[in-house]
Amino acid sequence: MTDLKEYIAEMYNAAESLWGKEDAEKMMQHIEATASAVYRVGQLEIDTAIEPATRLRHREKP
Amino acid sequence: MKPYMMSLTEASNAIITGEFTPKELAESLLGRINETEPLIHAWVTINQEALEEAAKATETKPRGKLHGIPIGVKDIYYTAGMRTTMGSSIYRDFTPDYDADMVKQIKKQGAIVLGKTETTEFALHDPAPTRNPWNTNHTPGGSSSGSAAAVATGMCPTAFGSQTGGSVIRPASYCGIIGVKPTYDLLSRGGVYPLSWSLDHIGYMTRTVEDAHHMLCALTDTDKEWKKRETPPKIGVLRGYFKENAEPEVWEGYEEAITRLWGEGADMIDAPQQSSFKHVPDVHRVIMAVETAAAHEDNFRKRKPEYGEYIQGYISSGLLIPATVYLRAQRQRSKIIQDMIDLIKGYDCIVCPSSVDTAPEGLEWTGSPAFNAPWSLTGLPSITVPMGLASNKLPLGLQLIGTPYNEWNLLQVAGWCEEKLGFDTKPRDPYEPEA
Repeated sequence: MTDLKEYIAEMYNAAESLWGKEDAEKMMQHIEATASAVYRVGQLEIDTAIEPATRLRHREKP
Repeated sequence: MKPYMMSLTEASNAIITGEFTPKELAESLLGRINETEPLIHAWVTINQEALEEAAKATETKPRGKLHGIPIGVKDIYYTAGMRTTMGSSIYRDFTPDYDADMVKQIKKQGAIVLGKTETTEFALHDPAPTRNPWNTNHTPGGSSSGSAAAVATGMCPTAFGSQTGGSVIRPASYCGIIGVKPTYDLLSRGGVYPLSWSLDHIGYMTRTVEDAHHMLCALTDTDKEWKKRETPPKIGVLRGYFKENAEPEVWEGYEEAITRLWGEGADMIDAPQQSSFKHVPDVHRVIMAVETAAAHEDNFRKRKPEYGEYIQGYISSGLLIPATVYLRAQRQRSKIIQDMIDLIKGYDCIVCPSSVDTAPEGLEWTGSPAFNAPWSLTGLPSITVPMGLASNKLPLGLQLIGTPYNEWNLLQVAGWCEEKLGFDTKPRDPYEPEA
């Protein structure tokens, strides 16, 4: 991934191509917040042994 | 005492002993709604047959733990034959032909659906018209806005909410009542409109912890007598992230509550946060944005202009998140869950403030879920108990968090704290906020 500023710009461009300039501008606050979270999560280093919590581990009752 | 003033447990006992009938209770609650609803706006729909159903319950033998008890149901729970709007213009005329699993369950226990309570649009952000009974210039919080305000005002003794970020605990805290968000999946989400499948929780509000225990018994078909805890608990005290983000008055109220509980004999020990905790806001945001976008994708493509501005932006940005990042967030979530469970294991529970601030002024914003989202992300059970008033006379809440499926113990500890903190949760009179 590029740096955060570039990533926000990339997400903005994707939004603009999908929904147009006006809508993309209106949702700029969401784009910034979401792109920032996505960028930081993308940077996390995680052991490959850790599986996604698509089913929460404690879902199986003891 | 007027029936509407009674707690759930008191009203239930009064019906069993014949002190009053279900019909008299329903009349009292409907009278209370007539008095206070013009100011509070907690309800989307009142069940026009509630009184008739209460009259029927009066004629029959008690047949469950909630016999003759009228209950508020958040307007994202499907109710057969009763309008269910999700707080959205898209569903303004939608009437389901079946009940959500939890609605079926309360009916099985003899309860009456009193009506449908206001919610933010699709239980996300765009606010409901509901006002806070402690000060009607302030939000009651959201998304379970109507449920919290209705219980706090005495329009019903208990009501269902749901929580994806902080939508049960925060409004309960802002309105000075008890809020319960059980372990993820303890209570069925069947028939509740999804916002984010792996984060959505069923929850409810009451005015006492004993009522919360009674309600959990009813919802899980459990026979468990409420017994006050006598032994002071061992509690892990969270600071760090919470201290950095809390408004000064919230923090002051929290430290006072901690000192008070310590003075009553509780073992109050600093609980260190693991390094994974700092990733909670980002991980929660990524998962929720993707799942909300997925849940709404079909409707959104066809009816985008009918969505409110906030949720439009939220869904649109969620649709742009790469699948690999979503899975990375779910993997990080696994680590956070395990770290949290390991942390809590050394205590009866851990605590933190229930909200960043007191109920914000105005109705445009229902407040931040920052102090609740960690427990929605981890699926751990949490309960809020009022811990006092800030200088603006708005309630502050203490949030207790336990290990998975340990609700019963958590309720006992919450009951102990409730007693020692001594907050009066009698129904609020919104016309006399200083009373």
